[in-house]
Amino acid sequence: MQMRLGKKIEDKIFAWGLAAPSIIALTALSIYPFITAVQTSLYSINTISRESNFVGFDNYSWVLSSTIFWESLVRSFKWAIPGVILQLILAIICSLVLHQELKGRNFARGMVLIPYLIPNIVGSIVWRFMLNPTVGIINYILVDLLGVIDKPLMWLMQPKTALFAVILVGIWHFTPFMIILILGRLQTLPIELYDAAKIDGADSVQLFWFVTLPWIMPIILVAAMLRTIWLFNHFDLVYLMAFGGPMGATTTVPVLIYTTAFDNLRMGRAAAISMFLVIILLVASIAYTWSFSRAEERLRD
Amino acid sequence: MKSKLTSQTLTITTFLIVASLILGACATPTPETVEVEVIKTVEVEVEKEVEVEKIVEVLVTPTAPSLPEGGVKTIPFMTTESDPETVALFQEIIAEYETDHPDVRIDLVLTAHGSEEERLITANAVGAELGIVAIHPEFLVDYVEAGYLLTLDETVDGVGRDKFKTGAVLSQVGHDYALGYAAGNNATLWVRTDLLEEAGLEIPTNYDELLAAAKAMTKDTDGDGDIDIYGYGAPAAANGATWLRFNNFVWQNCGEYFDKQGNLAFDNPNVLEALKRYVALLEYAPPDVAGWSWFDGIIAMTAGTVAMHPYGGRLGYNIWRDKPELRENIKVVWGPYGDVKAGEGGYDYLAISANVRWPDEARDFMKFFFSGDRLARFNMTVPGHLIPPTEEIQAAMLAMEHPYGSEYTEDIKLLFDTANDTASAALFMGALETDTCTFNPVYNPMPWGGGIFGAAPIEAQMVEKVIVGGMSPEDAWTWAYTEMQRVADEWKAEHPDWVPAIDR
Repeated sequence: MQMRLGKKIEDKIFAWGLAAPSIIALTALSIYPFITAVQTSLYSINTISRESNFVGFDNYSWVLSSTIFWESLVRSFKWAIPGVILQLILAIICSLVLHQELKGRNFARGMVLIPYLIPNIVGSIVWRFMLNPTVGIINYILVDLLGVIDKPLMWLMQPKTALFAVILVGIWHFTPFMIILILGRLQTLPIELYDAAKIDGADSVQLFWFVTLPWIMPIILVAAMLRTIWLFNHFDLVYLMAFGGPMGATTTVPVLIYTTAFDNLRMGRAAAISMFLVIILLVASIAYTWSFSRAEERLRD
Repeated sequence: MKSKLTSQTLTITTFLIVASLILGACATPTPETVEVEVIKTVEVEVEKEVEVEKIVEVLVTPTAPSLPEGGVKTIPFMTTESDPETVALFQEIIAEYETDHPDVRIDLVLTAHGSEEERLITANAVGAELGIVAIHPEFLVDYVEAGYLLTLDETVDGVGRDKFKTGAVLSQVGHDYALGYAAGNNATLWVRTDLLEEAGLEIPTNYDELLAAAKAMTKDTDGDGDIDIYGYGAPAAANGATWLRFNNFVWQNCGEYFDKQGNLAFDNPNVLEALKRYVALLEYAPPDVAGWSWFDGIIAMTAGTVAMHPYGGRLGYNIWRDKPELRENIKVVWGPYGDVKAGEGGYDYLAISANVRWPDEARDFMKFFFSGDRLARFNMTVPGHLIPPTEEIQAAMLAMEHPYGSEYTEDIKLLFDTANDTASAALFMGALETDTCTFNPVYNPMPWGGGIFGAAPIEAQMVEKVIVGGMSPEDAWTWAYTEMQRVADEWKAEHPDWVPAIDR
C-alpha cells in the first residue's frame, strides 16, 4: 500500500517535472503576454512615453464605436474567407494531380513548395514590382501581350483592387501549405477502398466523391480552420504589400492594431482591439475542434 | 525505487537551475534612472505676473559594466543610410576609429527608413541595447520624457556648439539629445531642360509657369493615344514623401500647421489654396503617383517618363551614376509653388540610446564622427543630397575632388544655398507667420508632431483622399484640420502645463 502510494507520488512528480518546461515556456511566452495585453487594454498608454492612466472599459467602448474597427473587421473576413476557399480549391486540384503517377512527380512536388519557402518580405517586394502599373510585368502581360485590358490596372493603388491583389498574392504564397497537408493525407488512402468501389461500378467522379473526398475531409477541415485562423491573424504580407492603404483599403484588424499602437501611439486601444481578435479566434478555434472531431467520427463510421 | 526517484528529481532540479541561469544571464543590465525635478523660472508676460514653471525631466546615467581582460566594448550603431557608397564610408570611418581604439567595436546595423521609432520603442520596452540610433525629431519630446536618450552636451561642446546651424542640434529642457549629420532639402525641383526647350519654355519661376510647363511637357510621343511623358510627378499616397512635398505648397502659399503658440493654423484658407495647387499639378502626373513613395519619382525621371519632380540632391546624383547622358539634360531649381520663399527641409539625426552599455565610448565615437573631415567625406557620398550641419564642412565639401561634385558644382551650391530657406514643420512650429506671410523659423518643437506627421501624416492622408478617394479638396481639408485639432487637443489635455519652447 505504502509502496503504491509512493509510486503514485513519484509518478506525479515525474509527470509534473516533464511538463514543467512546457508550462514555464507557455506561461512566459503566451499567458504572461496575454495577461499584460488584458491589463494594457484597461489603460490609456502612450506608446513612447508609456505614461498610463486607468480608464476601465473606455478603450473597449472606443473600439466598439469606432467605424474604422468595424471596417477593418469586415476587411479581415474579406481577406481570410475567400482566400481560404480559393486556396482549398487550388490545393485539392494540385494535390490530386500530384498524387497521380506522372513523370517528374517528385520534381513537381518540390517546385510547388517554393512560394511557401520564400520569405514574406521578399515575396511582397517582388509582387509589388510585378504589380506596378508602370514597370510591372503583370500589367505588361494583361495589356500588351494578351490585350485583355486597355490600360494598366492600379493594382495596389486603388481601394477597389488593392485587397483583391493582396488576396491573390496570399493565395500564391499559402496554397502550397494546403497542398502538403492534403497530399500527405491522400498518400495514406488505402488502395483497397478504390478497388472495392470500382468493383461496385463507381466511375471516377463517384470515386472522388465517395472515397477520396471523405478520406481527405478531416484534413481539409484542419487546413481550412487553421488557415482561417492564421489568415485572420496574419500581419506581415498584408502590411508589406500595401501598408494598410490606399485609403485604408488593406487595413485588416492586425494592421489596425499595429497602426493604432505605433502610428497613433495608443497602446491601450491597440490592446483592446487585440482582445476582440482573441474572441473571434477563440470562437474559430472551438469550431475547428468540434468540426474536426465530427469529421473523424464520420470517417470511423 | 528510491534511487530512481532521486535521479529523476535531480535531473529536473538540474534542468530548472540551468534554465534559470541561462535566463538570468540573458538579462541586460538596467540603467540607473534618476528622475530629477528641474525647477526653472520662466518669465512670461501674463498680466505682468511672473509664472514659475516646473518641468520634470528624466536624466539617465547608465552604469558601464566592467570589461574582462582582452574584451571588446561593442557599440551598436543603427542607421537608415543604406546607400552602398554611404555604408562603405561608414565602415571606413568605423575602421579608423577602431584602429585608434582597439578595445571598441562599432557594429553597424542597417534599418529601413521609417522603422526607427518601432526599434527604439520596442528595444527600450524590453531593455535591449540600441547604442547610437537614428531618430525622428518629431518624437524628441516624448523620447526625452520617457528617458530613452542620453544627453550629448559634452559631445556638442567638443565638436563646437557655435559651428552648428540652427536646428542641427536638438535640445530639450537645457540639454542636447541629438545631432543632425545631414540636412535634406525638399524644396528643390528637378527639371528636364531639353523637354522645356522643345516646348519653347523657360525654367518656371512661379506657379503659373510651373503648371503651364507641366501641361506642355505631358505628351504622347509615339501617337498611340497613350501618354509617354508626364510633365510632373509627385507622390499622393498617405506617407512621409507626400507630406514633405506638400509642406512646400503650404508655406509658399502663406499657410501653416500651428502657429508659434501651438494654435491651429491649418484651417487658414491659404492651405486650401495650397492643396488645390498640389492637386492641379497632379493632373499632369502618372496615375500611379497614388502609390509613390521616396524613390518612385527618381525611377520615373531616370526612365524618362516624368519631366519634373520635386526632390533633394539624390535625384541628380543617382541619374548621373545610372544614366549620365540624361543628367546633362536636367537641372535643379527652387520649386516655385507660391510667393513665399520657404520650404520643407530638415536634418537626419543621430542620438544615443539611454540603455547603451558603454556610454562614454558611444559619445566619443559620435564626437569622432562629427569632427575632422569625416562628416564631409560622409556627406560627399551623395553630393548635394546630404547637406552638412556646419558652414565649415559645406566649404570643405565644395573644395573636395569628386567627379560629380566638379561637374555639377552649381547644382550642389544651389542645393546648399536654398537649404537656408527651409525648415522642419515639426521642429519649427509656426515658422510661417501667416499674418505677414513671412518665414521666420525659430526652434520651437511641436510636441504632438508625432500624431500629425507620423507614419501616415494627416496632410498626406488629405492629399490621398482627394487623389485616390475622389473627395473634394474642401472636404479633405476640413477633415485634415479637424484631425489636427483633435490630435493637438488630446496632447494638450494630457500636458496641461505645456508652454511652447519659444516662450520658455
